[in-house]
This record gives sequence, structure tokens and C-alpha cells, in this order.
Amino acid sequence: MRTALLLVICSMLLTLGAPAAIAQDGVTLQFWTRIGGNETANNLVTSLVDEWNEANPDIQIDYLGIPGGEYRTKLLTSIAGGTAPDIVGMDVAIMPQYMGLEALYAVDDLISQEMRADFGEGLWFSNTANGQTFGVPWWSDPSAIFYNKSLLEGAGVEPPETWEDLRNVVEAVTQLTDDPETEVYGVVLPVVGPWVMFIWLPYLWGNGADLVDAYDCAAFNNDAGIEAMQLWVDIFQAGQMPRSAVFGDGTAAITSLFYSDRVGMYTSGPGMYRRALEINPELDLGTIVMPRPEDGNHSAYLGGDNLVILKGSEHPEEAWQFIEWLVDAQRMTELAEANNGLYIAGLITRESAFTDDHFERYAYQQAFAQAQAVGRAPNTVHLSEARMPVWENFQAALDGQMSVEDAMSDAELRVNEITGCDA
Amino acid sequence: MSRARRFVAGSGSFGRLNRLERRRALWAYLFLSPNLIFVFVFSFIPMLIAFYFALTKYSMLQPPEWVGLDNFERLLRDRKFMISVRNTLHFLGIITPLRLILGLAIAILLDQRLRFRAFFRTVVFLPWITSGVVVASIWSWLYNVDAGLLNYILRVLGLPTSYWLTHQASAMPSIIIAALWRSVGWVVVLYLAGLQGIPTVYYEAANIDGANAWQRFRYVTWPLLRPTTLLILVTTMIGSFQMFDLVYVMTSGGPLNATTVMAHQIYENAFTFLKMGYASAQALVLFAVVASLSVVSFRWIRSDVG
Amino acid sequence: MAVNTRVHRSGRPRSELLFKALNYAVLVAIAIVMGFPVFWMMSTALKTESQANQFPPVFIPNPVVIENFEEALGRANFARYLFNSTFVAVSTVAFLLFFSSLAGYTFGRLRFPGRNALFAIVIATMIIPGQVTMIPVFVIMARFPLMGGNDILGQGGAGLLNTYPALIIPQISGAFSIFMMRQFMMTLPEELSDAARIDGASEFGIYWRIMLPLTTPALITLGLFTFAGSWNDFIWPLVVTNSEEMRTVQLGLSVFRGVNFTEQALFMAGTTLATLPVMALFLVGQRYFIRGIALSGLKG
Repeated sequence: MRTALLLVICSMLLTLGAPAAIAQDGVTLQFWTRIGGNETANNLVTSLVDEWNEANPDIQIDYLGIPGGEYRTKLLTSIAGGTAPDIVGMDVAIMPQYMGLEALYAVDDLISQEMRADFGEGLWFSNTANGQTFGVPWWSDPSAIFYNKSLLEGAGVEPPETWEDLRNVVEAVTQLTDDPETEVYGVVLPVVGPWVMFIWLPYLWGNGADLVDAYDCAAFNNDAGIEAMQLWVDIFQAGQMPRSAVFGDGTAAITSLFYSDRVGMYTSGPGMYRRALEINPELDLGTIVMPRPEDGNHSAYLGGDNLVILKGSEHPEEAWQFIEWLVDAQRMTELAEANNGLYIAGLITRESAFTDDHFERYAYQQAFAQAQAVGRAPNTVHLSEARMPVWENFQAALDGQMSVEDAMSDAELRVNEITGCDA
Repeated sequence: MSRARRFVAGSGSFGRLNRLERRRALWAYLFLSPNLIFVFVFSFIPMLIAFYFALTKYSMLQPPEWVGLDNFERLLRDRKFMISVRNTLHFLGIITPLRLILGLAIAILLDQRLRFRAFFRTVVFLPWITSGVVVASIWSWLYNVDAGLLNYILRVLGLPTSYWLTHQASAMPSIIIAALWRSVGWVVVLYLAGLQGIPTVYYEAANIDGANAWQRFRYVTWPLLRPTTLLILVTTMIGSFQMFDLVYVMTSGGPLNATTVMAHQIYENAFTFLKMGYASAQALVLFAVVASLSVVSFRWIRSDVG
Repeated sequence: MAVNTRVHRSGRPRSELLFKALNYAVLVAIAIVMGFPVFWMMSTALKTESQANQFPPVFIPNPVVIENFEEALGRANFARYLFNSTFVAVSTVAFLLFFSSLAGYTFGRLRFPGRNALFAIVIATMIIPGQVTMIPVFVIMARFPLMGGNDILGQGGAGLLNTYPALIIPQISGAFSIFMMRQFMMTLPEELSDAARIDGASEFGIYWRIMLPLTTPALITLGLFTFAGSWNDFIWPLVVTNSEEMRTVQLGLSVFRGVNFTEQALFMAGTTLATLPVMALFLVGQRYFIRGIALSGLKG
């Protein structure tokens, strides 16, 4: 045993210190995305990169798909260590931080008018800060509502258009059964984790309020904001939403309730459609854009990825060539066709890339395209921290420990302290 | 004061040793050197760098900026960090004795001659070798109030159900159960190894003296396991302070901050808010607390002798 | 002694039997509680995706599908991942056992100036949370002088990133293992080393020939812990490697870590595969928890 130990150590010592050296001809660029945990999308990007490398021997792309959960850590570590990639598919949720902390390369001079005009305002909004542009929308992940057609029909209701409709629909669906064994819930509006913001903000926006205004001051403690929170609090307190969708992290279990015909409506992105049908082929799914207030607008949260160049890159021009090639409208169309209408891990971002019969073939995407046209992403450098007090007070209000008014005014104070607003 | 000096000096200064002792001390340094080089370069220096970060504003996207004690000043006003300190101590205070007692009891059970001993030993250790993400996702599902297994079973048996992770009062106990489940096997294995080191002659002598099972445990097993107990106490304490993945996956620190612990706050500040400087200051506080508790543990075990 | 026992046994056979039955009952209960989540993982791995998401839950998969495993094993380069993980884990264990048992012996059995201070420093490095030291360690790896194209000042290349040392080195400087070996060395009777010293054994000889064999259970335990820790590590290998050739099993199977784990069955199949080698190793390793080694030494 001891001799074996020594032998192993000696042989290991010999193999250490022999790192592989990479021979370089022309330029090699590092390209990272966060879709390493999504096999279909990752394989798609891998073959795209292979295609580019074949055609461009001078500019080789080294692709790495990172699983979503650990993507931020890896990215930050590599930037701090001076070994950052050149091009990143950047989650729009972290764009504000990277733009605000000047970690991205401004690409205003490189974007053509024609390209700029091909993207919707909401999508473009997440790319800009201080009048500069730092990326191009790649694929988008707009949030909208999936509804269970048979449950809604059974309850004799139509999918909701307005908030008032929403209240009625969830009530009718919840009343379908009294049996606790097979309890049916009207809706899941996930308040799980601090990510609640991304599902709730559209209700705030639709009613004319916001997380923070242009001066980074809290902009939700007003009638519009209070109404938006009250809507959810009422639905939850009436028992029309499962408890684990609000407190704790029950995402996987809750989706399984939805797949088993026990939840009327569920908020998610376009990627869920095929997954739901794989698990329960009998599921009869419809999609609608999130309901609007009686006198307000529809809205949506636009998740997804922008393609950005990190400031440390030594070859921004070459990186841009690759980005331009990647978001080519024709290529977008072809890739979506080959993947049941899904582009990378979500929706096509260029308007000209939707073919005339796209929504005939992928009817469920209509609602998501509508969401893409009316939605946006929050764009403040304080987003990640400022959402925390709102989330905590939201939970307190849902649980009845705080009135909605108190929750809002306390959250306002704490958000302003975080953003440093003096108003 | 004198005690502190003795602590630093170890066993006297080099100059006062005789030739034989000096030779032996040189051997000691030689034996330690490979390890200490690694510890120095890959643990100690990074630790010092983290201490330096605590005095800076550091987003990781830009180089650190010196801010002196600003981070610590902010810490004093950080309500959420105070909550996380309280939660961590709550977690630690309950899980530590439970883990020690259960771990030792199971180890003694598994130290007997048994049928299927290998099976039992392996099953107890299984939770620890299963990846943390899987453990957390399975427990999330077990605990789920609406679609989870535990409430389903309780309902079938006609028993009252619980809110588990979704209520301020039951969230931390639920996390503690999952954490205990996950780590008790580790303690069992350490105690098992420790039990092997107790020479059988001691038990034989105790038997001859007519000692009963409790007396054998009290006067042979427990005192001779003292080094193992100290090891377990100190390392599980450090582990408890660094506990993070279960909370991160199962509750994100909620509901209403009921399960946010220090390591969770440190992670959130560092990698979500990009405030590595502030997170390092929090880590420094954690360091101070754990270091003093470790010193207490070392003393306690030593004074327990006899 | 044997006679004594027999008298004891024939004295109260019923209560002893009852005690034994109780013993097993407790053990079975413990095994169910401890084993259930792992049983659940494996059973889910054998389900169809729709069955994995069913409510109320299904315990025994029906039909049993092994396609999930085939899919996980059929992954490109799985053999390579397996080799990397094994190589990294085995070398980590080998280095760590040697270094830390030597250090543990020194701290636990030798007297020398500065012993307590050095030991306190070692323990201190264990206390600081990994989240704040990860970046410094990463920078040290990336800027390691004269490695991976770096010059003497650590500039110009990628240092140790993307190499086996980057995966192995941070794990072999473990403070826990030194602490553990020290504690076990301390339990060994002092007379042993004194006797050997009188016989003229060298300090290294005492460690190598006398102390090391006596701490076999501790070494096995530490080896198992280290192997499992290295094998299951995810975030560090992810951070320090970029290339496909350097991926470990955990990284290779990370394609299953989709958002919200909606592909439950596939995810569980991947995890089961990743867990099996450690499980098997433990099953073998626990045999070495045998009493009496220290005793035979004492008699000699």
C-alpha cells in the first residue's frame, strides 16, 4: 500500500508541469455563452461556430457553453484574472452592471442603420447606457402566459385580456374542485426567489410605474405600483395560487402540477412549450400576452442574450465580424426552421427574420412575439441589489404581515438608500 | 498574556534546545515544508489578498479601489447581515450537538459485528457523496407544500401537513434537517475510523472491572475519542459557517430572510451585487467569529481531560 | 474469557435476542431515511420524462427505461471525462495522503519551536470562506511564473489554467487533512515511537514504518473524503478549464443541469452515473475499518 502510494506520486510528478501549448495562426477569439446546460441550443451554437471556423481560417472562434447557474461566477473570475473571453452571449439581466461598470466595448460605430432598424425598441433598450450601445440582441426570452385550454373551458372562461378578467378566470378555475387531493389552482405567478421582479415588473410597467426612474429613484410607491402588487396579493390570499410558487423554491414541483392539468395558467418563456408537450402530450396549451390593467398596456419582461465584446479584447473588429455573421437575418430564419421555430434558446430577435408563415406554423409564438414588441428589460446598474427589498416586502405583503401600502413605502426607502437617490 | 506567548512560541525557542532536540526540530521543518509551501501559496496568500479586498471597493470588472474602513462602517448598518449572523448561529447551535450525538450513536451501532454491515455503512455515507445540487433539488421536491412527497404522505395518513420551506417559522428547521441528513454520514465515518484506534485491551480491562455498557462508553470510548471529537467539532463548525448551497438552491435565503446565512450574504454581495470588497469584509467578520469559537473548542476539549 | 462470554450468553438469551432485533430495526430505519433520496435519484433515472414529472409521484418506474443512461454514456468524449476525473482524483488522493500524514505526524508527535503558531496558521486558512479566496487563487494560477507561456513575472500566458495542476494543487494543500491526520497521530501510544527511537530508527523511518500503518483507518477515511470531494467538485474545474480535453465527468454531465432541472430523468441518470464510482469505492474502503491494528502494534 505504501509503495503503491509512492509510485503513484512519482508518476504524477512526471506528468505535472507539462501544459499544452496552443499554436496560433491569425486570430483566435474566445466566445462564451450561458447555454451549456441546454443541450439542443448548445449543439446548435457549436455547429454554427464550426461553420464559421471552416470559412474563416484567419479568425478562429473558440466556443465554450457554460451551464446557466455558474456562468456569472466563471465570467467574473476570468475577467478579474485577466483571462476574459472576447465575445460573450450576455444575459440581459446582468447587462446593466457590465455597462455601468464600463466592462463592455461600445459598438455604435460598427452598427449599420439597417441592422439597428431591424430590432424592436424594447429589445434594443437593454443594450444601451449613457447614450452608447454595447451589444446586439441575439435571442430573446420574453415572458408570457401559458394556459390550459381544457381547464379554462371546463370553468367556462376565456383567457384573460385585462387584470379584471385575470381575477375572474383564476377564481373560476380554482373553483373547479373542492377536493384537496386534486386541488386545482388558477394561476402560477412565480414569486420564487428574487427573480420575482422579472415576472412582476411587466404588471408595474403596464400600469405606468417602474422599479426606478431615470434618476435611479424608486418609482413604484404610487397608486399604479400599489395596484399592481394588490392584484397578486389578492389572488394569493384567496388561495388561487400555490403557496410554494410564492415562498421557497418549488419551481420543479410546481411545473409538474401544471403539466398534470392542475394549474390554469403559468408564466414562462417560449422554451417551455415543447418541454411541456414532451412530458404530457395530451396537454392542450394556449398562450397569451400578460393581461393589462383596464386603462393600461400589455407588457412583458424580455430576457435572453445580447452579444457583446468585452473591453479587454484585443481584436474588437474581428469579434464584431463574427457577431454580425451570427445575427444575420437569413441565418436566424434557417436556424429557427431547423429547431421547431425556436432560435437558440428562445425567440428570433430580428423582425425581418420572421417569415410570412412563421406564426401559422408556430402559433404559440404569436403571444411571445407580441410580448417582444411591447416588453423590455429593467435597465439600471442597481437592478440586482434594488430588487431585493421589493422582493422581501412583496413576500411580507403576500403573507399578510404588512399592508401593501406599508410594503411599498418601506421598499421605497430601502431602494433609494441602495441607489443613492436623494429625492 | 503569558498564555498567548506560549501559544505562539510552541515548545520553546530554537536556541535553547540541545543537539538532539535541534536535530529533531530540523526534521520536523523538513517534513512540514512541502505541505507548508502549498498552504502558503494557495491558501495563506489568497487569504491575505481577501483581507486586502475588505479594505477596497472591488467590482471585479475594474481593479480594486482603496476605501479604508468604509466597508466595515457599512456592515454595522447592514440589517440583513445582522439577520444572517443570527440565522447562522441558530443553524449552528442546533445542528452541531445533533450531528455529534447522532453521528456517534450511529457509528457505535455500525462498529458492531453485523450482517450487511457494508451495506449499512455505505447507505449512511451516501448523502455525503451525492452532489449538492441533486440533494437540494430532491429535498426541495420532498418539502414542496403543494406537490411534494412529505405533505402527500401526511395527507394520506390523515395527519396535519406543514408549510416546510415556505414559512418563516418552519424554513430554518427544514434546512437544518436536510443539512443534518446530508452531513451526518461524514461524522459517522470519522467516528468509525476513530473507534478503530481504541485498543481492545481497554475494553477487556473494563469488563474485568465489571463495567456496564454506559461505564465502558463514559470511561473508555468517550475520553479516547477526544481528538476525533475535537476534529469533528471544529471542522463541522467551520462547515456550518460556510453552509451555502442548500440555502441557495432551496430558498434563496427566504421566506423573508428566514434562512439567509452569512455565506449566502457573502456570495450574494460578491457575485450578484459585484461588491467583492464588501463581501470580503463580511468574510473577515465570519473569520473572526469562527477563529474565536475554534480557540474555545480547543480549550474546552483540553480541559475536559480526566 | 471465552468461558465468561458463554456463561453470559446462556444467562439471558431472550433479552440478547431482543436487543439484537432492536438493533437491526433501528439500522433499517436509518437506512431507509438516509437512502431514500438516493433511491429516488436512481428510480427517477429509470423513468420516462413524463413519469418523472407525475403527481402523485411514482416510486417504482414502469416501464423501466435505460435510455437515459445510454444517452448520458453516449456523450462525446465520455471516456476522456472519466479519465480526467480519475486522474485528478487519484493524484489528489496520493499527494494529499502523503503530505498530510507527514505533516499530521509532525504536528501531532514531534516537538519543535513554532509548532503551535504554524498549526494555528494552517487552521486559519480553513476558516476563510471560499467565495472570497476563489479569485485570488485563480489569479495565482493564471499568473504562475514560467508556466503556460508566462514569463518570470507571470505575464503573457495563461499560467496553469487548463492544466491538471490547476485542478489538483488547490486540493492538496488542504488544512482539514493535516488537522485530521494530526488528531489521529495523537491517539497513538507514545511508547511506540520511543521504543523505535531507542532501536535507532530515523524520524522518517518512525513515520513510514510505524505510524503510517497504524493510521490505516484514518488514511482510508481521508482518502475516501478526498476522492469524493475531488470527484464531485464542479465550480473550480469549471472556472479553471476551458477546453473540451480538460473536462471532468461533472463538467461533461453539466449539459443536464438545465434551467429548473425540467429534464428530471436525464439529470438524475447523469448524476447517478457520476455518483456510482465513489459509491463503489466506499463499499470497498469501509472494509478497512477494522479494530485491533493498534493493539497488535502495542504488543510488539
